[in-house]
Parts: sequence; structure tokens; C-alpha cells
Amino acid sequence: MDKLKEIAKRAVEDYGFRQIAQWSPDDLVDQWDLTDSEANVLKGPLKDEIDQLPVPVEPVDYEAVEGRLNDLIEESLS
Amino acid sequence: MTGRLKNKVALITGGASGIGRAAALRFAHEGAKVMIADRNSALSAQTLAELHQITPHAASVSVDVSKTDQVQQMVDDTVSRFGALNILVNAAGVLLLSPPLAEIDERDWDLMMNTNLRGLFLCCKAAIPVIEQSGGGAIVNISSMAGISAYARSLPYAVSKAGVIHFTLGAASQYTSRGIRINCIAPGTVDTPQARGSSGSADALRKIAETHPMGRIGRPEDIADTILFLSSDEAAYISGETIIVDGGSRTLPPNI
Repeated sequence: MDKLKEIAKRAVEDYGFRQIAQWSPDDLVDQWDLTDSEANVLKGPLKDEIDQLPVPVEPVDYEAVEGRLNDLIEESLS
Repeated sequence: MTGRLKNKVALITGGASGIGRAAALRFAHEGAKVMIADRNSALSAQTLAELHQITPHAASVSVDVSKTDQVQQMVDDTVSRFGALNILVNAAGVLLLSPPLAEIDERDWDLMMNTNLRGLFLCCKAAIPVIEQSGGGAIVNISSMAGISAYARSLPYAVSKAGVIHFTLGAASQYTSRGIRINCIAPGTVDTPQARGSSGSADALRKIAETHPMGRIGRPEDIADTILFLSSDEAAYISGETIIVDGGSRTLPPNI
């Protein structure tokens, strides 16, 4: 779960990384050695949320957005 | 339409957005048959709809340029659709922000090298035989000023883009005599989704524009015009070159 939260945080704060998460998630699954359930969350509900993020997410909004994504990850993996 | 690329078949990676999209639209206006290749299939569909307002001779293909099989399929689809390949524009790229060298995550290094350098290599490797069979043509690689000047925000990105410049020179030394001109463009800051996303905030990008000699950062169309030039017969005697398109940013005095 922590790896997925780190991926989500970077997707919020780094647009280039976000593009990898959106369009080449298998690269992250391999690189970060994600479990099957984590991979499913990355490619499913987390991607759906990341797709909706503004470009860029303003720094003042990082905490709120990352908190929302962390809640989603916890909920999806519970 | 003025027909500078009439009946030419062009394949543009990263063609769904930013510089690639602008080049695709410019090429279509000039009579080219255009295949856009991008991993963002949703955005590709939008750009393809724009292209179809200009020409019926446009299509899109989904590709991750770091994957050999997908790249070969991309080239095969282009030839299958349009019967030839004359122009390849390598505009696909990714910029991940990085900490100082000693703290760089090896995974990030690999991600950037895989797309920006390995991907460009794979696209050229797959396309060159087909361009030769089509009677020759042109390849335009998109580097960056980050590949020429120091770029502290992402050393892997800068190194990959420097590699694109040297790749261009070496590839041109091998294929110019065989009818394929290979050139490169090094843009400064351009108003693309990547630049906006990597700037940290909308305010940061505005500040860059305010200090620019022209009072603005580049537009994707500024780069597309140079891509068009290098792809056309107007550049028939140019190969192995890297053209800086930065609106004169290098004329600024050092910030010391």
C-alpha cells in the first residue's frame, strides 16, 4: 500500500511521472514490484482519479489531493 | 493548404499533444498523409478528429515507443494504411523531475532513457528501412535546450536529450548518403502540457515568460514550423543538424 501511495504522491506533484502512471502502468508495476491487487488499483480507480487532476496540481493543493488519493487507495485495498 | 508535403506520408510520435500535435496539424495543412502515434489514446482521438477536419488522410495508432513490438506494429500500420513512409518525427518524450544526482532513483533514470532515447532509437530502427523503400525522406528528432545547457531540474532528462543530438549526428552520417536526411530541433521552453505540468505551478510558467527576450515562451506551432521546414524539400541540403528554437533565450546574460 505504501508503494502505491508514493506513486500517487508523485503523480500529483510530477506531471511526467503522472503520464507514466496513466499510460504505461505496467512499467511501474514491474519497477515497483507491485502486488496484483495494487496493480489493479493503479490501473483502475487510481487511474480514474489521476485522469481528472489539473495540469499542474498547484502546490497549495498537494496535501488535499494526496489525502484524497490515499483514502481511495486504502479503501480499494481493504 | 500550400502542398509543401503533398502526398508525403508522415509518422509523428507523441502526436496527440504539444509539439507533436502541432506538427501533425501543420503537416495536414501542407498535404501530408499523417499517422499520429501516442500512448494516450483518448487524446489521440481528439487530435485525430481535428486532423479529419483538414484531411481524410489521417489516422492514429496507440504506441509506447519504448516497446519494440509496439513500435514495429506502429510502422507496419502506417505502411498498411498509407502505402509508404517518407517522414518520421520523433516527438514522444517524458520529463520526470529529479533530485540532485546522488539521490536520483534508478527507476526514474530508466523511465526517461527508455522513452526519450531507447524509444527514439527503436522508432528510427523500424522506420528507416521503410523510408528507404519509399524512396528516401526525412527524420526530425525533438531534443531540448536541456540537452545543450545544464538543466538541474532533471539530469536524466538532460542527458537523454543530449543523447538525441548525438544520435542525430551519428545516424545522419550513416543514412544521408542513402537518401534519408536526419535532423534535430532543440526547443526552449514551449507551452505544452508537459511544460505546464512540470513547471510546478501556473505562476512559475508565467515568470519564465516574463523574463524571456520575446516576453513569451514558445508555442508548439513555433516548433512545428521548424519541423515542417526540416521535413520539406526546402531543407534538401540539411542533414545531421540541430537547430535551436528558443526565441533567443540564449542571448540573455548569465543569471549571476
